Amino acid sequence: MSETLIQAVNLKKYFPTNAGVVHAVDDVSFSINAGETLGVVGESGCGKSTLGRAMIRLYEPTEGKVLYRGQDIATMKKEDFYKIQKKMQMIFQDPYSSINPHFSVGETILDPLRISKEITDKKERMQKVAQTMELCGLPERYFNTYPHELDGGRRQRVGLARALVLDPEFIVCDEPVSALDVSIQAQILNLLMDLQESRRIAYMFITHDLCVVRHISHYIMVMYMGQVVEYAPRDELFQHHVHPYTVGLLNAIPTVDLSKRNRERHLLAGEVSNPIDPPPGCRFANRCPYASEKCKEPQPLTEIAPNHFVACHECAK
Amino acid sequence: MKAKSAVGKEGANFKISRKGRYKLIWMRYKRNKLAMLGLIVLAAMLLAILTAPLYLDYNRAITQNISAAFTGPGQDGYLFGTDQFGRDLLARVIYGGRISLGAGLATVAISFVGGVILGGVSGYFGGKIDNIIMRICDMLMAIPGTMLAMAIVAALGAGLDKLLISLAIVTIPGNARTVRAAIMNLRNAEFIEAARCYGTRNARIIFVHLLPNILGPLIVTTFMSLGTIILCIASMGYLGIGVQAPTPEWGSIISENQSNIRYFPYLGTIPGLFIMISVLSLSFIGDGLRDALDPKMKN
Amino acid sequence: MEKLLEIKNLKVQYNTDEAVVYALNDFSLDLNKGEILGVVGETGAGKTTMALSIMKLLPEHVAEVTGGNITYNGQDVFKMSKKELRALRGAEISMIFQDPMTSLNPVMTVGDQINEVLKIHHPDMSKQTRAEKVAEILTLVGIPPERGAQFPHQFSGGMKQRVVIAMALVAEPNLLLADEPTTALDVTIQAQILMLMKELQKKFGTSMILITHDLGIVAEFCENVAVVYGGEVIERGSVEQVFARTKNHPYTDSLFKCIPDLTTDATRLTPIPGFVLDSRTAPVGCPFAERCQKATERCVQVKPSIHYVEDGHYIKCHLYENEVGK
Repeated sequence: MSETLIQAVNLKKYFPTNAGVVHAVDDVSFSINAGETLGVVGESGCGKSTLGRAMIRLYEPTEGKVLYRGQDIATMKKEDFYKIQKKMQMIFQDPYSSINPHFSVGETILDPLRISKEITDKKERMQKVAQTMELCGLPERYFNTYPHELDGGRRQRVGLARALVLDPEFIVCDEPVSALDVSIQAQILNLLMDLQESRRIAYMFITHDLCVVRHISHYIMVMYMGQVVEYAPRDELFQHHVHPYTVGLLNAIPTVDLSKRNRERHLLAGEVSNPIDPPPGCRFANRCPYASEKCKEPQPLTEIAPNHFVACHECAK
Repeated sequence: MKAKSAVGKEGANFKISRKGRYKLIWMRYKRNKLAMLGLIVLAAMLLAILTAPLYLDYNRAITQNISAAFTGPGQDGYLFGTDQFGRDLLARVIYGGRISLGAGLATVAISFVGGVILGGVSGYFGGKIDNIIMRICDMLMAIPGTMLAMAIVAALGAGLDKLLISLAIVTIPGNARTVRAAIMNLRNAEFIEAARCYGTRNARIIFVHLLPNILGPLIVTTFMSLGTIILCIASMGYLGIGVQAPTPEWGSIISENQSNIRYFPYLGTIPGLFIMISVLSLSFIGDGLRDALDPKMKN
Repeated sequence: MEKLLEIKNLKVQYNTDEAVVYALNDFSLDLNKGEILGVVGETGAGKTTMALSIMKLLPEHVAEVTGGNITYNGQDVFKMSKKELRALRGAEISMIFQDPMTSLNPVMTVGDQINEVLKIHHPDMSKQTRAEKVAEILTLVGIPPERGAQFPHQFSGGMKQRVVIAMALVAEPNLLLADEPTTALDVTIQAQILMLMKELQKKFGTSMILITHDLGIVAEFCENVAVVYGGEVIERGSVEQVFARTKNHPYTDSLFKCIPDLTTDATRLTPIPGFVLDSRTAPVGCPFAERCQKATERCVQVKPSIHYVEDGHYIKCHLYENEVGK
């Protein structure tokens, strides 16, 4: 199982703006194995979506490498990249804006096959579309249906089918269920997990919802203002999370468990600011209840337990 | 694998029904009564104009026959009457339409294509290219349209082809701006990112993914500009720098007769009516098409 | 307990060009003074239509009330004059919307916007008192009063929602309708805002209806809960009764099973089969029947009535018709 599929090495993505340089993703490294899921958690503006897009070169990284089976896709020639691009796909958050309203369901799923020229025979292409539709739980009668006639859950299945039709090995899932109702959310999550089991797809699952990420991930990475603050296997993270931000995040989630109703909640004060020309040191320090002088120094990720990394000098002790 | 082949069999029967899509557009278009009226009127007009040589002698439009001057409409076999030179007004209006409508449609086509290309490139790529294109457009738009067209015709010399070029230059910047704004709105949409994910190249993204989504509003503005263009040709003809006499053209028909309109009002109202009807029809058609092209409209 | 609000058999439909959408079908709900009620449901369940009906803010040419009534403090809302309605909105009942970005006027300072509410509802108040009131409410929601001179774009999302809350509370209404007030916010900010709302609710003694799709928020924030499906309340009880998960409507039960939660260890969720209800067909029988695993022919044909299973806990389901509670 431990075959590394895709790896980010010191990946950076900066956006120059009038107010200064936004360090959307700042020096992030991790790897994902085939058939495994990395959950990327964080609040809005933490750079998780930018990171996801940089992984499949929708954004050109400012610095660093993205290794797919050992090849650096971030710096390879565009023409070479086109050849392996189909192996890495993406599914999106908004089931409404992520599907072209002028394409029917069939056309939407067929288009990737046309572009990649993977299958040249027209009949075979249609068979592939039919198989993929069935795989995603879309009845064949939707083939000539237009997206506006479908509800959010079915549209999300169309988006999933569009990504799957190229048989990718790696899918970036950018909040794929957060726009859906809970009952539909569960259907899509289960479908994603089934597909992973049968086809060994690796997911990078981006979400702000820790509950969702717990169900689907093998590893979890918590991000804050463009940096990784904690990384650990799923159960380790939920049982032994140490970074004050992770603690605050987990504490803030409302739970249906009545026994926890009156638990003492340590709420995080303050809000996330923009990572524009940030000073070195811990970016969480201004909201951290334990902040000290030492937090103004850079905080490298330190391994505190097998595969459990944390970027905090206090916790790493 | 059994299940797979079963699906495959059915899948082989899948068809992208392009034909069905046009049928749907037509169905939606048909529901709009005003748009249908506009289409029928415009089609009838075009038919009459195109088949003119079959039933109407061009000479009636240009040959002077002073003895028949100022014959009222309906008299002596002149349906629309005659002008001060005794030329058949019906023939002049019909043959004049060949220039007014024909040149108008040609200009619209040129400015549509030009606007889509310039606006598409400008809106999709942004940055420097966008800046250069848009500044040029701004410069052109700063000068009043008719004046600019006149200046260009004056520089290039008179003639129908020159007139077309000048009118296209006048109308392209407006179209380019509309296209650019619409493209900018959509270029970061997730479905565009999705298309880029599977390797769609820029040209296909602009023309296959983005363009259909902005076509509706674009058609409306373009068709509206057709009205303006006919009026522009008319006013240039009126000023005498458009089409050369005695070639008839709707605007010049009115201008020739301006001194007589007070006593023979039909000389102004009949060609004026033709301009008005064609402009109205086109704006109805534009509105109807916009709704028909939107897949979200009910069928 | 004194009743503040009573919605009785309310039926609301939207007449669009394409179809009639049956938004509320026999929707009944009571609210006592000082109560915090959570209204939970999925998209299209009728939560927002309910809130708009209470304020009589339904879109006029599209929405049609075909039955039932709403009584607020003994007065029929639908029979109120324009003047009475103006007094009702803002002074008696105020509303917090989901998106703080769009519910503030971008070209007016935050302080002026709060001031505006006071001007409308207390025209006789002096300028001086109004300014004091604005400063006071800003402090209460955790914004330094001097920031009242700033414009909304200078505030972050969470801060904007605090401003919205200040606007909603400055006229000291008796009922606060909060429609997904934290859905657009991050979790850590959501927790702050919910705490703040709870504190202020206690301070002012306001009754509150919190509309949400998140069962967790209801469990932590509300006293009572009403579960809405297909335009009707299908279960109503105290949070303790409903979240004890002993007796529930099959819909509520499956909702519990399909939310990913931090406390369960199950690796797979149990989704509710089928799709979200299409409310374009006139309702007969139980709205959940087609997705319910326990449904019988009777559920499709006959609309279940209210059955009390405990004190103050009722379920609208045929399964519980032999229960005797009050």
